[in-house]
Amino acid sequence: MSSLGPLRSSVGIREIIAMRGELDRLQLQLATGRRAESFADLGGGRSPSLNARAKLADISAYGQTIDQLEVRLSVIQASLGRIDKIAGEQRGENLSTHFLPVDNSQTAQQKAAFQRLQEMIGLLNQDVDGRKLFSGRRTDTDATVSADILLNGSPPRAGLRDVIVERNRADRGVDGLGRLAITTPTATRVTLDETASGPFGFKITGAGGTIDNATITDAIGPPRSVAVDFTGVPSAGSTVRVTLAMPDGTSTTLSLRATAGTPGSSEFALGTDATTTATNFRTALQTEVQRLVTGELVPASTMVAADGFFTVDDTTFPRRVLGVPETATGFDPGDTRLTTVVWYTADGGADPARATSVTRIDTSVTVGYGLRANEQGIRSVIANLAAFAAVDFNPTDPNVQLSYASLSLKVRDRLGDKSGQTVTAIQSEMVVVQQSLKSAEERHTASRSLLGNLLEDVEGVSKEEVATRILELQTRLQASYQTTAMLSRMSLVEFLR
Amino acid sequence: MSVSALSSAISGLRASQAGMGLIAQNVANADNPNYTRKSLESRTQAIGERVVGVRSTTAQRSLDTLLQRTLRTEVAGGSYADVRARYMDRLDALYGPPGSGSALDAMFSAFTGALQGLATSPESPTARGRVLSEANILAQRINGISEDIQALRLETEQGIGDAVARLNDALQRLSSIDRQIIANSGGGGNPVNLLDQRDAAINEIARLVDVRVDVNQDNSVAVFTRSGMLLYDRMPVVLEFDQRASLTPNSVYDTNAAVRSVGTIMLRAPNGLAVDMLAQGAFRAGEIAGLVSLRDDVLPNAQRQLDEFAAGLARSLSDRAVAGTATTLGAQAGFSLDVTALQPGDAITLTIRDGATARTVSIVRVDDPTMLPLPQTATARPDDQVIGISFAGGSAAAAAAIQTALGANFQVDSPVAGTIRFLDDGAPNLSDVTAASAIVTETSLAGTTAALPIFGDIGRSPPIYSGSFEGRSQLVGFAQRIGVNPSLAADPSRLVLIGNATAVGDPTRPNALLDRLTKSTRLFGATDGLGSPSAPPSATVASFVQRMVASQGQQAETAKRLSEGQEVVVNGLQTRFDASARVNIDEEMARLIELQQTFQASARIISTVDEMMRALLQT
Repeated sequence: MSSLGPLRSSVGIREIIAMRGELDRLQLQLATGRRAESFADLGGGRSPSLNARAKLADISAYGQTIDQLEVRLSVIQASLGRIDKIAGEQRGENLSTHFLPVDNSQTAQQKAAFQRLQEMIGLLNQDVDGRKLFSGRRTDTDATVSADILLNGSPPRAGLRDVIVERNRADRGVDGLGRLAITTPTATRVTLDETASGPFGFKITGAGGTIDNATITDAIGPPRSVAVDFTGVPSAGSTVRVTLAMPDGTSTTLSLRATAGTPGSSEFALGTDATTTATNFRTALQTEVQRLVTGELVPASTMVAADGFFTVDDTTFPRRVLGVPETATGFDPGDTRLTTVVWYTADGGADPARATSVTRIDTSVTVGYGLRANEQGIRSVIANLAAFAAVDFNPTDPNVQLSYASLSLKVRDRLGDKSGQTVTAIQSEMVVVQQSLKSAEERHTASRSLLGNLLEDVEGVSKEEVATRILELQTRLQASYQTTAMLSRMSLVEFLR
Repeated sequence: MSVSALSSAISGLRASQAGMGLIAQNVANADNPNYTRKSLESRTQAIGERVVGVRSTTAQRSLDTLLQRTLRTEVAGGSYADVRARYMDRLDALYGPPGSGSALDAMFSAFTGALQGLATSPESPTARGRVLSEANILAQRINGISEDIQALRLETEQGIGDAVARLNDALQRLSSIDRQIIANSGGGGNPVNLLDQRDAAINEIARLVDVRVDVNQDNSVAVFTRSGMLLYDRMPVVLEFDQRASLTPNSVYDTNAAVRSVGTIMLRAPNGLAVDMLAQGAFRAGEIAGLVSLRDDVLPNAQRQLDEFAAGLARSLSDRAVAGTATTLGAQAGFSLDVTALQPGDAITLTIRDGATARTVSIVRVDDPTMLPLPQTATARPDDQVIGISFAGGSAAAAAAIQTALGANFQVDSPVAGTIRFLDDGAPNLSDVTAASAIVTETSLAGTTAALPIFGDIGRSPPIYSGSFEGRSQLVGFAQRIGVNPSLAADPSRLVLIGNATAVGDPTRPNALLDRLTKSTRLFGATDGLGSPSAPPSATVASFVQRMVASQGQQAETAKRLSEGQEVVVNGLQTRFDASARVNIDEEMARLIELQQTFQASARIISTVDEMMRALLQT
């Protein structure tokens, strides 16, 4: 630059203006910590920046999802843990099988079962941030009806108590022989016959014994029939045994022992000849069958009634007896929801319950954590508690002790049943989901810091670098100002007099 | 002798005064960028061998004409690059500052984030509301960017009008100065100051248009555009620009004046000839060319990209696949397809073999016969044959039209209303129908699949976007009209509930919608910077928005670089030009001292001659 000529339009001044602009830009960078205010200025970092931003937004959305899921899963785990504990407590109490009613018809254990039923229903219906966790897809609906409606029904719909009573009647039959018939076709022949009872009552599955002067015939039928033909007087101690299957899949053995003295329970008196022995045998057989009906068949009937009541979904309706219970031979094939309370009120689809709440927690990871209260593991606990709480005993019934003990033990056994799905199994599935959440969260944390660093590199500026550049620019700018000022003064004009 | 000395000295005084006058003029104009330095040459006055004094010639301009020509060319390039860089920087800014919540990509992410939230809590009214509000914000942002793009276009339109007015002005000025120059140039005259003014006028023109300047014998000039159109030769042409008051995405330039919906520059020559300068491609550099390229190229391209994005966003959510059913008729095999849900713009895709060639045919529903035949670019797919068919007359009429289009090797009919059957020729085996399917636009909120028209064309009734060609392409300017489907806004539960049997907590639909945006790739129409017609961009909607923003940033950066590079060139040339043509005060001062000394010396001689004369006369 020999001389400046017109200052404001000279290239030198434009350089100074450019430097000044650069200084302003650096100052802005220092203030915002950002390299660029537009995508154009980002240069080569544009695509990485856009990409990283989108990923960070995804991660943040996944992060929110994971936070919500963690809350839900911890509630689920706590609830399932409590349900499992409830089942364990009830099992412990049911070790005591003595019938000691506290209000004439129910024991303290049964009262406790009712309390637990209520607690469990509370757990299944709890609301976590506007969401029912045990209702499958219908997250806005309670999973179950209240304990009161469940047990007592809601007219015109029958509750569990009604269903149990109905089923008990169907299993008992008209004469309380568990739908079996005792006949004496000849004076010396006593038969125990199945009747046309469909699924109800006792079913003969075998017969035998050690007895002389009599033959035991097991006619497969149908109807299956066991006949004892007395040809003389058997020796004392001879036994006749008939195995009887009950509706809940268990079986019991009817056993009658010949005695020369006064017959006690499960004994028949030997007569003087075949005919009197047959008559005695018939009487003892009737008493024994009736005892087994009250003591064994009715508890089994209760359990199976509860199963039928609780096993429901969108296509399976509560199981009800068709027609007059005592003579019924089948179940109501119609829509029993019109006549019966459906305890599970939420989503009852046929697909796996886990698939009812599926959420993406990472680009390629989804977790299913949906639950339905009618899943076998949960249903089994509620069904057994409810069945136990629903039954009223008649303390004057001579077989009440046997009946209560049988029911109590059945409930205990079934609460501890490990076949099929259990609450613990559901808990383990949830643990797997929780682990997925945790590892996804760890991945997200790692990605977030990685992407953050990347963005920092691409979009951010190092304060040191900017400060250094500002210093350098300042020096250049000052030098330019000075030389420009000097040059503009160093004109001949200044020196002319 | 002394008399001769006196006259020489007096002529010296006169020359010095003239020189000082010029220096004063130079110094006074040191600041004027259009002023070139003037100088005088002294010439000896002699009579025979006898020197009688000194005489100043007329003022000369100090000018490097080659440099001036180069500078003008580069200035035209510079103003072209500069105007493009300025507008493209503003265009880029529309997509938002990087990393800001108001950036388009961030708003899209917020929308997908809301869908993710809904998939987590489908029953939550808050989550549903959030999806709708994020969708609304996104749609409004797209509308806003689109409107801003059109506003920028309108600015360029006004800019062209302004530039044309300035050009006419400069041409008029040039004309009047040039006439004076011709008048003053007679008899060896050199009207330097007029020449400066004329250069200034030409420089003004050169900033607007790239020009070539020829100087005629009589010192007048002729100005042409570099493309060869005459702008001035004795008489200036008049340029007319029929500026439009508003521009929409549908406003395009066309050589056909009846179709054209933006302004064009008409040149009216003095002989009455009128030429459409844009049709001739007359402007290659300069501000006008920059503005035209922005109006007709850069900004419409940005609009097309945004339209593609809006269409992809809407259609990715509302597309529903309809599969063909394999069917036979005697020996003929093929497919039958349910076309009841086919909306205008929806396409049936046929894979066929006709003779030896296998090809894909896209049958697009176009009920408006004026839009037929469809261009092959009507679908983004590059390898298909596009046939537009009217379904207005029912499936039988449509089948007949398709039959005509496909030829005798195929049998196309409609055995049942609403179904079209595509069959090959059977035994001669000249043709095959390999596959038939359709992608239809779901119009119902309930539907049977996850497809949900969250976004629609608010400008239409019903507000459905299906990329139709009824009257005009629905795609063009869709970005300006995209909005949240009003019926969905009235019933947000449909974000979750597919049918009435769907449970409120069912995450199927939200998850599927999210996957459609972030996982499923689709073909987008090719635009500058994003794919080519033979290889259109295939991307998820999520990655397309990133690519679009990056592409705009890239273009803005390139434009900025070009402009900066051009500025360096122009500055370099300007510096060199200034060194020769502009006033240097030092130089002028040095000359002033010289002249002062000459003046003093001449004055001294006169006073000496005076003393000598007095002495002579007194003795």
